[in-house]
Amino acid sequence: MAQLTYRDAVAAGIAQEMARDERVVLFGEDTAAAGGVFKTTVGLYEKFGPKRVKDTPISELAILGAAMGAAMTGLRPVAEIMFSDFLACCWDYVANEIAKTRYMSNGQITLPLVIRTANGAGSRFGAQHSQSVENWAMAVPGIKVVAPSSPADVKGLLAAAIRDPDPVLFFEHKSLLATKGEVPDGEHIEPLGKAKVLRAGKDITIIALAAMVPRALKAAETLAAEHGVEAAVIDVRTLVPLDAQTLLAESARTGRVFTVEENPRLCGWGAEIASIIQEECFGALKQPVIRITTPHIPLPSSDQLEDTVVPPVTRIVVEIRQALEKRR
Amino acid sequence: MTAVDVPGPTRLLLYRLQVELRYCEKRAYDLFLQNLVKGTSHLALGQEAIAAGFAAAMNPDDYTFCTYRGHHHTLARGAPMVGVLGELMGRQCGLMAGKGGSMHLTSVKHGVMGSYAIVGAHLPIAAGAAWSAQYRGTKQVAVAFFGDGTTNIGAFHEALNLAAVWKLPVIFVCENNMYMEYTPIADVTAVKHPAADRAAAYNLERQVIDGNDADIVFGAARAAIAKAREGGGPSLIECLTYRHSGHSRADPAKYRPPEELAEWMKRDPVATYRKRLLEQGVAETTLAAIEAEAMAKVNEATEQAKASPTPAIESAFTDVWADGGCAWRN
Amino acid sequence: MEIIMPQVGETVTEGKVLVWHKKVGDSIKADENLFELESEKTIMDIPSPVAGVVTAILVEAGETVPIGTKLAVIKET
Repeated sequence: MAQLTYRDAVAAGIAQEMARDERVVLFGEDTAAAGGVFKTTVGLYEKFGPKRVKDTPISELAILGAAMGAAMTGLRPVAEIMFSDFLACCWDYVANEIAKTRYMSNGQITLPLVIRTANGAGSRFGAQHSQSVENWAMAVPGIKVVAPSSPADVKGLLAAAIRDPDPVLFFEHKSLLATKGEVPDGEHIEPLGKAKVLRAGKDITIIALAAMVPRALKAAETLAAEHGVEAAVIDVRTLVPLDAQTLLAESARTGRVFTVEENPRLCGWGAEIASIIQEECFGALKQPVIRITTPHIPLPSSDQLEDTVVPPVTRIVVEIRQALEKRR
Repeated sequence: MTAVDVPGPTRLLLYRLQVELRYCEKRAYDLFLQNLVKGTSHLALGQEAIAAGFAAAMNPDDYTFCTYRGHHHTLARGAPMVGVLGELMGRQCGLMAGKGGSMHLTSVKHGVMGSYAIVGAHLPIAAGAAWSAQYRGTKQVAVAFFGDGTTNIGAFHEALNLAAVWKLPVIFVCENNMYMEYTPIADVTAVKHPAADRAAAYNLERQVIDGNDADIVFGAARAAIAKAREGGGPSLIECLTYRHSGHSRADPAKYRPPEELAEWMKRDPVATYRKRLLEQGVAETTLAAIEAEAMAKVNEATEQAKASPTPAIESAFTDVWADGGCAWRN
Repeated sequence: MEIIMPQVGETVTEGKVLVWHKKVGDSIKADENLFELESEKTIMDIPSPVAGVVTAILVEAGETVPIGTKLAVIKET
């Protein structure tokens, strides 16, 4: 076991796979020589050389288009889109091309590529550099969507994404980059499509993703220590393919389910999960599924405003308690 | 104009290809009028020389990428007519078993790495395929065909810049038929030659050729492909041509002056090439035999495609993922 | 060979024969224009796919009919 930061775990996951498979290549803006603007790819250029780790122009269309062309002809590209907000600049490739080409070609073309991108708020970068857009990706059939919350999951899920024969959108969270965690030594791989129960609890079930996971865990501690409520916390980890079975089983166990989502209110990832839960284990529910989300607004840049709108631990606790009070 | 040095067998191949493309595309049109081809399709009647010239210059393992006006490029690489006509008619025998349609013709085993309906999208993809070939050291090249309208979209510029900077073995071929859909390209482009006049921006050689002369196209293709294979980097070639039909089925192309169409019909690539072969001493009987064989091929493919059933409903749920399925949850 | 009303626009459901270029008994070459069609916003000439003789005209000039309606019959030669 080693303590790694979330950002170092990104480089470690890529390095593990590049060492294992010479078809894996990495490219993006400032990804190579500079080690990435978020320092998530430090050391890879030095280790694997300029043929395999490349800097691109500011050309999101060309970055994703080239990833697609390389993937359909024998390589396993890992392409970086610097900020997940910029996926909007190259959304044609995500939604129209990469997601649909295997289907339209009736299986002739396979695209084993990974698009890594820095997602999420907390850095005071303003509305166009702070969004969480994994829910946009979830809405398009044909792409797998992953958003890890811990260094171990970063390394393991990134390795799995690179090995996956299908296109994967891998959302790294900016505000988790400096967080530390235990990462197993040696080859580490986590399965896509499996949620993880991080905390057991008999009273309520909190379902969270990425940067909302540590907040959900802190809220669970506060609820236990100060309010006598024991919360189970589930990290969804992969949105597509979704581990609906785990989410349903855990929801049925307590009957009181909350999601904590960084997406703006409408069509956040939790909306689909809440729909599945109320449809498929309605009888086990003791109250409606409650979604705790950022409001439906662009994100403000001022630090106090940003910290208030993206669900802080205090609001998570308050909204859970309010819901429980209502149904007492 | 100096004659292009094209070997005899290649000349016959160029004629055969153009005739097959012409007859099959015309058949697609007739099937459309009989409501057997659904939705839309975009005909390349008149643009056969470009498809034939490049196909004859490529190796079987080279990659091509084209637009929704891509039936001719797909056939020229050797994809079967029954697969093309079948796909247009939405049948099981279609190249993609009815999953993709006219705008997305794909035959990976013939190097046809897709036809792309979003204008410009395939240019960066072709660059990526070329990068892959360069990385793997195989000396394969990628060729991307696109129209004059594509030269004004962002992906065109990003692809050309990246290909030039990374010196990728990709040839960008502009089929300039003078009209961006219904609008004359001159009305919407800042430069006269929409592709060639942008070449300097990417440090590439300016090339404009007669796209209706299969020998000239073949010669330019051969040179650009050889350059790419030897590590000389990308090329941008603007081929002047004209489409006989409208932009798509719904378009009778009334926006084009009748004198213009008449002028270009005099330069029909198939008729031009036929006349040239006769002048070079090829027997009329040889040409007639090529034409008869092509027509027989088109007729046989038509009957087979018409006889092919519509796809089973289950097929709509296949091949979203590499495991063949479409499951998004457990 | 039966000639039917084609669907020349992506969303059209019917078309109007504006003018017949041939009458019953006329011979026609392959790709020679048979009739002029009006559909939504477009007017275009429709050719005969085969050479032959027009043996039946089933719809009057000026009539609007649904897509797929039989318009004429050509006996192939």
